[in-house]
Amino acid sequence: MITIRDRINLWPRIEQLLDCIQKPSRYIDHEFGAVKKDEASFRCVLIYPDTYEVGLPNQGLAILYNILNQQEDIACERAYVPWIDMGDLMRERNVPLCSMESYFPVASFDMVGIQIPHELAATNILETLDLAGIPLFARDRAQEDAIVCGGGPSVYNPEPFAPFYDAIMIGDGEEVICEVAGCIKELREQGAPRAKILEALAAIDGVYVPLLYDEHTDALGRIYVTPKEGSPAKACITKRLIPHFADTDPLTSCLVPYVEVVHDRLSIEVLRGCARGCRFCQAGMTYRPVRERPSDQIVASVICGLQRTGYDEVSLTSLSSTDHSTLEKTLRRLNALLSGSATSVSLPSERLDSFGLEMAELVAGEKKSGLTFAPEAGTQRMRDVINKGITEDDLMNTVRAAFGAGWLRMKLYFMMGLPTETDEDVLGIADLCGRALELAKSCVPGPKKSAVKISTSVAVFIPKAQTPFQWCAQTEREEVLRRQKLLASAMPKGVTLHYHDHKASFLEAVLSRSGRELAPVIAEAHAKGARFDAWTECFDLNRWHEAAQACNVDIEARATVPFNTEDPLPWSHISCGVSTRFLKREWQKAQEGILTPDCTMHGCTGCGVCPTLKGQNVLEGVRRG
Amino acid sequence: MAEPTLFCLRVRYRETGRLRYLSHLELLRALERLMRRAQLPYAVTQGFSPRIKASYGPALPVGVASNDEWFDVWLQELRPASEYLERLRAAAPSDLMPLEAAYVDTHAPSLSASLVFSSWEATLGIWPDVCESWPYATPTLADIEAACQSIVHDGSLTYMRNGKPKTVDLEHKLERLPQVSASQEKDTWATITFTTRASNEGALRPDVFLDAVAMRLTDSLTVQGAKQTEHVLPDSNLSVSSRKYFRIAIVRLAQYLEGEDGEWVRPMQH
Ligand code: SF4
Repeated sequence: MITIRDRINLWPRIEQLLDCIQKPSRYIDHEFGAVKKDEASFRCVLIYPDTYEVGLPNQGLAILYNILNQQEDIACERAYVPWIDMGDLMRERNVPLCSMESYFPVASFDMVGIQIPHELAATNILETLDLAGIPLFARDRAQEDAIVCGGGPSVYNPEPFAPFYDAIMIGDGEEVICEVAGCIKELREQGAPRAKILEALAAIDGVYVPLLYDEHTDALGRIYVTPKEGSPAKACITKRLIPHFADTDPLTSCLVPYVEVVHDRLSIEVLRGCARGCRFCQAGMTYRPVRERPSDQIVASVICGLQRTGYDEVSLTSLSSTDHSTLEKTLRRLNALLSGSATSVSLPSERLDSFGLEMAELVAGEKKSGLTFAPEAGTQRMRDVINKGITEDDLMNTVRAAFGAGWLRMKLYFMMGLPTETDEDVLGIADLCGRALELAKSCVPGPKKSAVKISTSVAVFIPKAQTPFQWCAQTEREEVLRRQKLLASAMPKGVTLHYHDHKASFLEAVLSRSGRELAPVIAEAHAKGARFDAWTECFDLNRWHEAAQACNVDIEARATVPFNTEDPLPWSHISCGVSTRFLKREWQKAQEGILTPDCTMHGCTGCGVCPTLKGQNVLEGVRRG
Repeated sequence: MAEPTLFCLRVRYRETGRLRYLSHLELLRALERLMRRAQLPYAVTQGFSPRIKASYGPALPVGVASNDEWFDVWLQELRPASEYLERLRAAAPSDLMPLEAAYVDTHAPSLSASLVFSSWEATLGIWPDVCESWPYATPTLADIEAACQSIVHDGSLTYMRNGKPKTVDLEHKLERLPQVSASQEKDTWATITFTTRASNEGALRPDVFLDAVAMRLTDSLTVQGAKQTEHVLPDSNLSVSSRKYFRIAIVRLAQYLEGEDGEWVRPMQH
């Protein structure tokens, strides 16, 4: 009998469904640059738990795809989550989830990697496993079942998803993925029992094997974990670090899609890490230290990548590309090299100061469509609390320069419900926008004044693990709604105000702050039809409330009850290298409104990353503050 | 500054295999990327968002393959067309393979407006794994011929487009009427060939025509079991239930320009 563990090319069965669904080109593979390694005996599949359009451009997976395919006798393929119409049709027709390159069932792979890109992907991780026919919980998997591995940006509180994974890799994946694949390969060849494989994985630095931990429940029903006695599980799993980032291959995304994907361009990661130290920002803590690629390497890889792929745009990506110490030189060189080829360069985000604007001008050329900045808070007091080192002068100078130089549209990002926020801070957003609009209009000649547009997007603050605000609660819904109304009533005419869906932010907070007790809730929500929760049109919080009720978990409390700084946290056994001592100090300084400078521009501020991970900031030149 | 001299290279390519599922926009993007990979000395358009100066033939419906697609690209440097063709071929996926290239007059009328004739070959059959639940008798060539004729006889065709019914008038749209012949392929009932003619009022979509043929068949055939397929209008979004049974494969065999006396002219002959 044929089972889903047999490596059979299922393309004919997929093809048959393509006349009946939307956007069939998502499911056809055969992109330029896709790797086919038919002969390799050990097969991995890396899955992004969302649609093809969202998953394909993911740079983390592109890096690992390339690295694994460079290994001898290892093939790495890709898979994505079929959109609802296709997923349902596959269920109806009994077609399991399969990989792109070979169209083998996902369940037939030796190693199945499902990325953990953000909290709202929780139900899509289960949709992936379910469509693949792999048991959802690691504890239910049998000897022959694939080893399910995770990794990615959102592993710093892995607990809500941990029970679905056999192993989770923490930190930079370039090396650890090869160690994990090599370990599984060797033990599988020896016919080792599954439990042995998991123990061997747990012994690898940076690898977390959730099944090897005992669960303890606190008075509020939150679960935290400790290593099982006698197991090789570590009390603390510290993230992996690639200290010599410039030694890694910058050319990762050479797979050129046909479908229009979310970032439809060549991406070159110009640096990794950000040390600005915004206290709400998880990535700013978890990707330290800062490692820049040299300008020569960036320029060479951009030119080579564009020729190889045929893209008409390249993005210089990172958490804060404008902080790169030699960015200006790099952009000028690229502009000279690419002129006349109808090719553009883009930066993912803009830095709110005169230098940021100069760089925006360098990439925009004559096409001044719109600028995006993130002041995050409306008052200086609030910005000091979150350590967003910008002043109102910075913003106003940027507005003056930008609208003076011909830009007509600006978008500003803010957060609401930050720790210590008062009504004055909320109203401060309206004041700031009002002043910015007035100034913008005064900088633009008469007939164009009416075209000046300032829009704002205001999100609800979500306290994240491994940040100075990790102990804080999310503001309760009623209070959020009240503050939203307050702001809406004060917002000056002419500034458009957009609120990020607070229900989704609530769920994100629940998923950020819970322990393993949440896993059954995720499974129940998925069983009730929750999937693609990150898509507004698919998201329904009611399913989650029902699921939580069925599992007897108070999700309201998960979001809105703070932790005591002495409590064990559900994620205490995971470390990104930033010490708890530093986080506590930062939390204290936040409450006092004291700033902490950026260690790439001033001295070390003692976060603990460099000594713990044996790395350091690597800058090509001197950074401009 | 004087306008630099440009040269118009006309390229024929195929769109086959899985790449028949590309939408028109996806196809254009893929061709642009192909030209960039081949490092053609393309000219670029004016404006804030310059693009490759190129123009493309009429769109193929999603799911329909072709052996005869065309694009024009304006080049800044004159070199043998065969050299550019080789470069393009080296950078192309096999299902989007350039087949011929030649220079044409830079003032030649645009491909999208002048390629009016398209000849199509379609095979109609059934997906192997639904054979058993197929509630009808297997259609004969005569059944299929009758279905085609009844559509032609009606003179118009109504189908669903984005949830709304749309009617095409068939007059002047079918340059050659459908010919039905036996097919050699397994699980395939018949091959149907026909030629459409595009005009200002649009063109007959070959997939819409084939869907309509399939629908007529289910109306005329005797039901073997009690189950009958839902009766719906053919839908250009391909979400019709008939497609779950019918295997419809369509290929554009060739495209032609219209000569002065209405004759068919190959695009390179211009
Ligand atoms: S240890 Fe010091 S230099 Fe290193 S990232 Fe932390 S603050 Fe910066």
